[in-house]
Amino acid sequence: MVRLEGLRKVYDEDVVAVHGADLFVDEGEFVVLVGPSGCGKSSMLRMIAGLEEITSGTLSIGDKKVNDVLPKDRDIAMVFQDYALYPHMTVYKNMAFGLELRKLPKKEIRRRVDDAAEILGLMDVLERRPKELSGGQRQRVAVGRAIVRDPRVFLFDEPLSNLDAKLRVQMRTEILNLHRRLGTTIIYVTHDQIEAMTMGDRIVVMNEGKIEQIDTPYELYSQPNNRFVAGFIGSPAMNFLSGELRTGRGIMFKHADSDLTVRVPDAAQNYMSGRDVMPVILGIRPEDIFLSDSPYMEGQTSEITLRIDLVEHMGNEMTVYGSSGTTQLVARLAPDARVKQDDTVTLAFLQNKMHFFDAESEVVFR
Amino acid sequence: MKKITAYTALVVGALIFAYPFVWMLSASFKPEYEIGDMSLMASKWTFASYQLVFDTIPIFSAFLNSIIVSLAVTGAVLFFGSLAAYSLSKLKWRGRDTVFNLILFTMMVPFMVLLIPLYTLVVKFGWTDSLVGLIVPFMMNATALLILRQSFLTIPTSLLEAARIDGCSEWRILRQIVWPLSIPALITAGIIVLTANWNQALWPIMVIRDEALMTMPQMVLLFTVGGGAQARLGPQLAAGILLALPIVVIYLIFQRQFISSMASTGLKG
Repeated sequence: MVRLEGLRKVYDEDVVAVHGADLFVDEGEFVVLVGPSGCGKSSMLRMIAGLEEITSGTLSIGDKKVNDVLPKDRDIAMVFQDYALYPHMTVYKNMAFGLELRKLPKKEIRRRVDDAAEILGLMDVLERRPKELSGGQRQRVAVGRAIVRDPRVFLFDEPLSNLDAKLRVQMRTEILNLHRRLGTTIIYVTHDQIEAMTMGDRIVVMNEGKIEQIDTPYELYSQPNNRFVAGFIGSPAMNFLSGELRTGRGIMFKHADSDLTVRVPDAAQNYMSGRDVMPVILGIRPEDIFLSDSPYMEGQTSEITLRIDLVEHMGNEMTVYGSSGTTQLVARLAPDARVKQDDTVTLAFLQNKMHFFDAESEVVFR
Repeated sequence: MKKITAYTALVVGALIFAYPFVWMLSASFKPEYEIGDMSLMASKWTFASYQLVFDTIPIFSAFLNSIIVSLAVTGAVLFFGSLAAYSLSKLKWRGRDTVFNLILFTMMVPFMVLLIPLYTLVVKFGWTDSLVGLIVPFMMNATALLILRQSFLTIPTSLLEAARIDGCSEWRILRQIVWPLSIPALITAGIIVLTANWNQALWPIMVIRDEALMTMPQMVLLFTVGGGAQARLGPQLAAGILLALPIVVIYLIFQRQFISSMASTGLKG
């Protein structure tokens, strides 16, 4: 449906916003572009929309190359972060404007706008102007303006970031329902990884103008390709411990800052390429850390002694912040775990949930 | 107490500003021999001064010429000015800032410097003794462009992008999005240009010789200092009132937008 091949964006001849991105978005798919601010996700979306010139590479929508096609002829609709509603037009007119420009019959325009207004619960405000609406209603009008056009692709540029937390969750569900109902391809940009995880069929994680990984939410979470993705997806973030791999009786990971020693799958041998010692980073998610006397931990050998700096009780779980030497660690423990601030506890890591990253390239070992 | 002081000061200021105009208005209706004193009242009111103006000069044709010229100039300035302002504020192109700075620079050049070259040009084009010679040289104006550009800059770019995706051409964006959202700035620029153009006397005196093509300021100027008024003050004041009246009326109509726009652009008139 939408195909990006080596798509590149350079501003002012030397600022590279997007380094040769490759992406294929299938018909009806909901793809989320996520990354920290300045990672190039918005530039990428704007190139797809035709609002930003493509420096090099190919962009196709359907089977047609659209690099030089005007935005209005790309058969896309876009929802902007600030909604970009025309302040001098009524809600009805805002939604009808694009259709009028396409010279649709008046009746057809009325029908489409009414349909959209019905779906979005805007029937009562059609004659109002944007400034008389609440944030959530404006957001809906912006979505309505996109859906009346019945485009092949919807583009969303951080559409929920101006809403308060509660409304954001509600609109998230509404957009998902809309997608289910209309089945239109959606490309959605956000910096919020929770939004990305909950909405996307697939997620494109970007950083510094490069695509780091394209995967389903589950794969992204459980099998991150590199340290950036591992650290970006998930909250609280994954713990990282620097250390080295050593060959001996099998391959062992030795933490630089504590006594922690972990047995590593033999497959890691391939990465050592004959070396005896290799600097690596161990990644472990907070929920894969347990008190070492917990029944889950039977037979696990990886233990680390930690002084607890802070305990946050969430009700259903607790988040424990601790340190061992200069290493900071976050663990999510069962709510009944008997730990408190300033305790010294022994924790263990779930062996099959550990990730190892090359210390230099930060790419994962699989 | 503070308020009273402030209001007193304002009232005194307003009186100082308003008195000459009110006096001029009342004097234009006084008999000639009573104009000498500074009072606002007269022993009897008369139209004699106006009568003399209407009898001696073709003031109606001058009025019409002035209307044609000022409206044409104002319309052209707003049209071309907003095209340029749109390009200078919302489109990206190489050398844009340089061009804008050049335009700003032209604001620093006094009109007197341009007078001779402009006149030479108008003569070359054969536009002397025609309204075209009064209109064309003033169809673009840096002040108006600056006001419009500042106003256009406040329109969020995403609005224009949404319009582009909706299917607008740049020209239609200007017409259907930018203009409706810039009405105060258009009015401000319009009034400034209209006033300046309406009051212009020097240029018409150079370009127009034919009485039938003269504009109000030129006509009034020639009437008051050129002997038409027979050195009588009343008719001179009456002609002055007739000259100022349309601008006052326009200002009163658009006062609110004008002031709000002046306040928001932070520009002086």
